[in-house]
Amino acid sequence: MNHSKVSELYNRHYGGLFLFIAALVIVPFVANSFLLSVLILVGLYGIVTTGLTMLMGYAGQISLGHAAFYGIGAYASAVMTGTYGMPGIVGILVGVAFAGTVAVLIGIPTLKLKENYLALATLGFGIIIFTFFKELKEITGGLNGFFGIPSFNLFGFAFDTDLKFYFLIWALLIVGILFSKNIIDSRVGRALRSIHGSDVAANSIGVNIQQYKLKVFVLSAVYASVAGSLYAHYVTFINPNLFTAMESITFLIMVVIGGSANIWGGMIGAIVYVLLNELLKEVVPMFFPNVGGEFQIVFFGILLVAILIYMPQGLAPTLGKVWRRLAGRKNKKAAVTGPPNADATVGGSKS
Amino acid sequence: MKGEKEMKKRMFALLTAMMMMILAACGGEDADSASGSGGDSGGEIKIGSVIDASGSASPLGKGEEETIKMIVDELNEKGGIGGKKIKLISIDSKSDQNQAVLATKKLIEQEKVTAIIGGTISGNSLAMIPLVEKAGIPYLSLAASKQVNNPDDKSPRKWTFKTAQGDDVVIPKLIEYLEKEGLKKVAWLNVANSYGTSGHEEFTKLADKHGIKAVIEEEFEATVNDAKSTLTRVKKAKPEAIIIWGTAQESAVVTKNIREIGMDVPVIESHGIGTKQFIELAGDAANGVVFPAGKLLVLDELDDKDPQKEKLVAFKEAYESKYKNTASTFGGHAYDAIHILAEAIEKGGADKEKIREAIEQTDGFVGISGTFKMSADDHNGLTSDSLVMVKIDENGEWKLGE
Amino acid sequence: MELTSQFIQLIFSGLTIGSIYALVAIGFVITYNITGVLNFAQGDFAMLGAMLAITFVSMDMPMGLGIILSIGIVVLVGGIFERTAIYPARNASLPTLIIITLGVAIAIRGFAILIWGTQPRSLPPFTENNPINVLNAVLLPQSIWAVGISLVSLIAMHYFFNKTFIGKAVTACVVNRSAARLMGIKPEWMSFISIAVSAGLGAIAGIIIAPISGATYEMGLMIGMKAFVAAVIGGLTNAPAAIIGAFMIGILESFTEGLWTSGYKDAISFALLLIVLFFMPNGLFAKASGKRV
Repeated sequence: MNHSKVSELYNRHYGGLFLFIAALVIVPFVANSFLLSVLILVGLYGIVTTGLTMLMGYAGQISLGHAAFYGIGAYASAVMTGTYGMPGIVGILVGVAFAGTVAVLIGIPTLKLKENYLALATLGFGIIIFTFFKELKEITGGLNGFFGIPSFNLFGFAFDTDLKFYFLIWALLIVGILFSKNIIDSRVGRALRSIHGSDVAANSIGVNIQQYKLKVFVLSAVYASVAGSLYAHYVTFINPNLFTAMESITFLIMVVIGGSANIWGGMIGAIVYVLLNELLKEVVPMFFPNVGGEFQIVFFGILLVAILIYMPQGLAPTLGKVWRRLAGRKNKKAAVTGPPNADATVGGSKS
Repeated sequence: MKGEKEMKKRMFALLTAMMMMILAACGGEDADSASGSGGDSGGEIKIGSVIDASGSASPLGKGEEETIKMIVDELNEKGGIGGKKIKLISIDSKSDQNQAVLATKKLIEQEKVTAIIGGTISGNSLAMIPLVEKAGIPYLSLAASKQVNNPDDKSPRKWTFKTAQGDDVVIPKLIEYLEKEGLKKVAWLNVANSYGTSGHEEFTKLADKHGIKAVIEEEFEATVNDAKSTLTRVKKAKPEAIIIWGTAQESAVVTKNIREIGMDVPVIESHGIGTKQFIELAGDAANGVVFPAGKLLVLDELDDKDPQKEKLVAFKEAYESKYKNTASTFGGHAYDAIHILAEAIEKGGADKEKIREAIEQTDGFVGISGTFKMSADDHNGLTSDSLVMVKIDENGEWKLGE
Repeated sequence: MELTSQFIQLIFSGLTIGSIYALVAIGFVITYNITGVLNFAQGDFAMLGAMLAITFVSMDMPMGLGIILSIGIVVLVGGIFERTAIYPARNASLPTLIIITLGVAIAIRGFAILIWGTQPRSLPPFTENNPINVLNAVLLPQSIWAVGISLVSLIAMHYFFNKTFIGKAVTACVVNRSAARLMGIKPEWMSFISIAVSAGLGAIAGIIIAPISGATYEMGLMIGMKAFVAAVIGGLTNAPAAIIGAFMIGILESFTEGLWTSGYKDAISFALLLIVLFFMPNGLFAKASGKRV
């Protein structure tokens, strides 16, 4: 039973994907610029959380320090392009090399240990890296922040508007997800899924677990670093407080909300997290006009706990189930034309 | 298998649906705000504020947000500006840079405001500046950093103004005091955040010129529980006075520790401790501490002829009767910002460039933080004359210290 | 001579802070041993304890009564937290449980802002706080209180888990869950007790530190993190080792600040965490024996 469910999730069908991409292409032309920047942020988070989803769903590990990799990318790009005037791609590559190396160094000793130990190590590592961002003032500008990061430029093409940046980020996110999917569907990926079940079993069939875990961890660090680099170019001003342990936890929260059983869960989590925050900002003042942001914090905490208690697998599978039930009442044909219907349902309930 | 295919399609249907929901949630007001072009739709002027009313900076931000709301209500009761009501769109940036950036984008792109006030902490304000400069919207920052109006990298600040006293105003006041008291060998301690470090930079720049030497320079964390370890080194350096540059809580811990390890040198601190909490937290150790601050703290002692006195009394009374909370100098920055903006709108109407010019020509505006005289080169317009040295007396009361 | 006095001063500071970390670290260990949950809301119990005590004392309640009442309330909060958030999700994966505790921590912090605001608050010292001079170093009575109370609490914990019936039942669940169930012990209730007790320990830590550094709604975050490092250094399951770990962290921090710089203080603590994880993954004081409370 478990097996059929798994194969159900990982089989490739690109029909829906094309529809989704079509929606992504249309959105910026109907959305205003504010929404566009929200979506850019969602996309950046999505790149980080996709890596984390792989790590959690397919290697059974969590990281409490991915904001540090995100920060490494951001500062690498800031310093390379801002201080030394190098092309944007150099910043990204330096960040990737740095983040990857650090991930290898942390991963090797901890991944052979019990299940939580990577989490503990990444928590510590995250705080150490944060201290370096803060204290290496000559390079990072310390707590005053790093100003004047130029906009991203790739081989002469400047991504200097939100629209261009939006397409860059989301194209990258989709490529990242598909790349992860390929890994998951490969022999490596099947091995990874096997370790999520049992280390011993995987060992007995001759799968080198540690190496696969390490690869996934490094890849997730690289995703975070690339996202960080692009973030730095997008906001043009960064400071160490953007890369604290709390930010790492935020990334993890997104993954858990989305659910790590499916590679799209990371992106869904990022979307829902940002959506929920924006929604709370609109809704809470309607009911409690005189309270400040703290009420939203309380709500957010409680909602988070509730989601996890009632949907421990995250939103992705639960939403899938709900949809199946809704569609199940109709005949097969209706289910096949599902996607446009879904828009109608959600859109309808909203208005 | 057909089942899988459907499952897959459902997944993407859900994703697509979610995108639509975001569209709906964030773009909800787009339809109504699009009807009026610019911020002066229907006889009202839209002003946006981006303030950290929650999160770590909220001890500063709360008062700012409340003050702006209060003043906008007041102005509207009097019939608005030039016959137009002010519509305030106030967004809480939760002491988070990303929230501040998004809020600023929302105000510019979606709400299409005429001007923006805000940026409680320097980090948020600095992240907002590239956006307002690009969009060409008059912006009044409430953050203190010198980088806000006078950046080292010379990036544009055409549209950015500032109503808080920056380090470039406060530190000279401190130096002046040290010189007057003949304190030449001092220990410098600052909190490890942008407030503390930028104060330190400015101090280092100026101290040498005035023959003042820092015999030891240290940082402490904003979450410090016990600074006695650091202070053992300070004690060894034998300074004639200790300067602590931080905000209320951490400064109180350090101040207590100084007295506890038995040092009795003069303690001079920053304007960041100008709240009653500092005295409450530091207890008896607060007695005798001297710090530069806006005149609001020593209102009762001010000479009646002081041009600011009337404004200060009015602000304090109005705020405290409305919010049952002590008026702070931070609220004062917001008071000055909204009033300067209101005067500029009076002169410039709804035209952003004209408002900008009018703000830049602000000359002799008497506010809470001082008398503003702005120019093309000076988008702050305050001098160290706007500050006084305040001493905490043996009863834990603020008194004029000079 | 001056060096000795500085040295002693640093030890005093380290012990004071270490005793706070120890109380919270023990909470981590108890909770982890019995429920398998890494409770990231542990530090926020300290904050709740401090804030409640400040509130009661400011209402002119006698200090002792106020303190006991606040500890009681926090124990209750801990119990409610277990019933409403941990118990229903007891079969969820570890990451999910971790995020649940983080969610609770966020909610508690939010409530704290709603009730007490964001301004720092202070609690008077437990007794007259005139510094005592020890070899030219200064010892504050409040520091003696801190170390004393935490030691008494820790001994009481030891007694509770090894000598009382409920405590023994809890310990039995750690050793062998199914065997304990056969003996008529309900492991579900043990989870409740362990988290409630941990919350109480956290509250004590918060109340002790409030006169020293004041209290804010976000104080729990850093205390929790440091205590967490201490618990890991002790191997996460070994209570005495976690206590030693806590005092080590306290003293290490104090020496880093006193002899070098405060900027890298946190980095040093967490570097120690990494070293322990890399080279001594079962904790600094690992023994061959199994779990202990």
